[in-house]
Amino acid sequence: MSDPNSVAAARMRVSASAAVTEAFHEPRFSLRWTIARILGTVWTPKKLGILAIILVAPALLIRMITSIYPFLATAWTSFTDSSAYVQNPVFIGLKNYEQVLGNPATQKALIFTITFAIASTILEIVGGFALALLLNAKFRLRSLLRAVVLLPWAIPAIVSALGFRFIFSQGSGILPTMLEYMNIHIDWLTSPLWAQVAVIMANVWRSVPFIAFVVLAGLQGVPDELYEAAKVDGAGWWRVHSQIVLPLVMPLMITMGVFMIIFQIGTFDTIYGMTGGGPGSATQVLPYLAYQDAFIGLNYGRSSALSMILFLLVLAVGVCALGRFRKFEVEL
Amino acid sequence: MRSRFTKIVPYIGLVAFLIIFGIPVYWILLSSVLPPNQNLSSPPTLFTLHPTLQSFERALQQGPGIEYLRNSLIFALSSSLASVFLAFFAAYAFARLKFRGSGALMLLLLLTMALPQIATTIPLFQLYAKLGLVDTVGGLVLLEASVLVPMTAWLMVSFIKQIPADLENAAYIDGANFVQTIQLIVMPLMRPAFITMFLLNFITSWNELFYPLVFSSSSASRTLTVGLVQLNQENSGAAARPWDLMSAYAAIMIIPIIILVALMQRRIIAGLTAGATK
Repeated sequence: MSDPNSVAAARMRVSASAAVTEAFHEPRFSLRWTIARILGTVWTPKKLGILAIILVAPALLIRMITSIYPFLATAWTSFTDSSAYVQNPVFIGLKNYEQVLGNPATQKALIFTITFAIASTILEIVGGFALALLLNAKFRLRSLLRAVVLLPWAIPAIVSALGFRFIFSQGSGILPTMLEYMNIHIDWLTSPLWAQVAVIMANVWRSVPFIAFVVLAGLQGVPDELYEAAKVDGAGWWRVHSQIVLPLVMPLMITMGVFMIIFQIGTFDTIYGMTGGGPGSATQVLPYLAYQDAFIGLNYGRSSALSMILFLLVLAVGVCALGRFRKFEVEL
Repeated sequence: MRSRFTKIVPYIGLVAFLIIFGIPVYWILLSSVLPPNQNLSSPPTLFTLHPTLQSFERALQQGPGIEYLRNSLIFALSSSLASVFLAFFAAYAFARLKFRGSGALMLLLLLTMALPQIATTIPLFQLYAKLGLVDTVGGLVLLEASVLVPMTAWLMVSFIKQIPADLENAAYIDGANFVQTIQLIVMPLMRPAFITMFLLNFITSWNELFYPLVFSSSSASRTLTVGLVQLNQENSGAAARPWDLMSAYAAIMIIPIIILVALMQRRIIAGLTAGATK
């Protein structure tokens, strides 16, 4: 018993039980007292625990009911044969996953989901950096540009998706008509490859502004002295930006990139509005496939398996990027 | 030579990005003021000297357009209001009342953002069917507010931390209680943050398609986004699509956003970047 650890543990036990006893005999530890404190008639800065829980509870509760519980239920459903036609779903192990992953349509959708997310993200980061540099420069009409650049992000994704469907469409679309003048003929939405390019372009158009403004905020954090010192040393515009500015905002852009990959794995609106997964299944993505399985095919088990694969994809990206997220834990 | 070159470059970029980002939006707006027969003509119409509000009249006076607009407004306003308040209370606890497990709880709240929307939808639908919340605006508001809470709370924490805690301490010392301190000291100082978060959340929920698409089945709760999708599917033959109605719906959705962006540009950008650069 002379081991200091066990002494400390014993002490902790004693103080813990003392706290419990105290709590029960504390005259103010009653419902009335709690209510009084919520209403604000009693204030004791030392005992904030209950107040904190009361403040956090609504937010946490709403997330539990509309997110955590349904997610766990989906995880369970993915192991059952649940569908609109089955009265009492039973556990069928990994059958849904086998069925789904063995299906070439899912494999194709899985590959395009990943391609879509990564290609979009790379283009967004590059375009966002360029746009941020422009927005950081001093010139007239800059605030007009800021407002116009904000629009693609701010208008509904489904509106821009349908808009792009028409912009890319043959005959009446602006883009094919313009390219026609240059003697370039591309069947944007009817050729599988070009349809994939088109949805990625539309998605990048929508997301570049967000990246640009975040990078711009990062650029504004670069002290002016750095630019001046570099200029004094004879570095030109290109050298300053490739060797000083870019490395400085790189960590920010990588973090944003991880976020964008995760968000874009869940892409729905753009695909749904622009191509509906077509032509054929060239632009099919997992979220839309899962949606179709659930609400058109009414096969809940299979749709849930697809959703879980989608989640595992997000998880994989998240785990790979965990090092980058340590920043948040420090912030908390 | 060099200095002239560097002066011109921004303007080339300006024109390029104005075209890339501005033209599609302009084109959608233009389509909505064209008479129906000029919509989607080939070659495309690029401007008009005779704008008409015909398609807006048709969208709002015939059919369920006005109900969709009402639903969209109620949905977006209440979701953003509810999320801002829920998130503020939670964020206050996280920022000021350090309690055991507060870091873990905040992390949990944030991690729920990574759960794909579709991965929660089937059980939610079954739950909503039991509770009779399918096809109600209230049910949709609950879902959307919930989706908005984690990000809002996270940003709010940093906004609250910017307020010096001494102000609150001074209030307590002067005999104010918790509710008074929140009401009289914290809330007024948080007003810019509230407005910013409300704006961002309003835009997000105004644009929401997925939940109304799944949970709405009549004009009792359908929003404009779903109305637009429906018009698009109404007649699958391309020529039979009601282009004029679609462009009017799109314009009705875009115009409030343009006004918000024009008036509140700075606040929106500040909110957008607050999370990434704090």
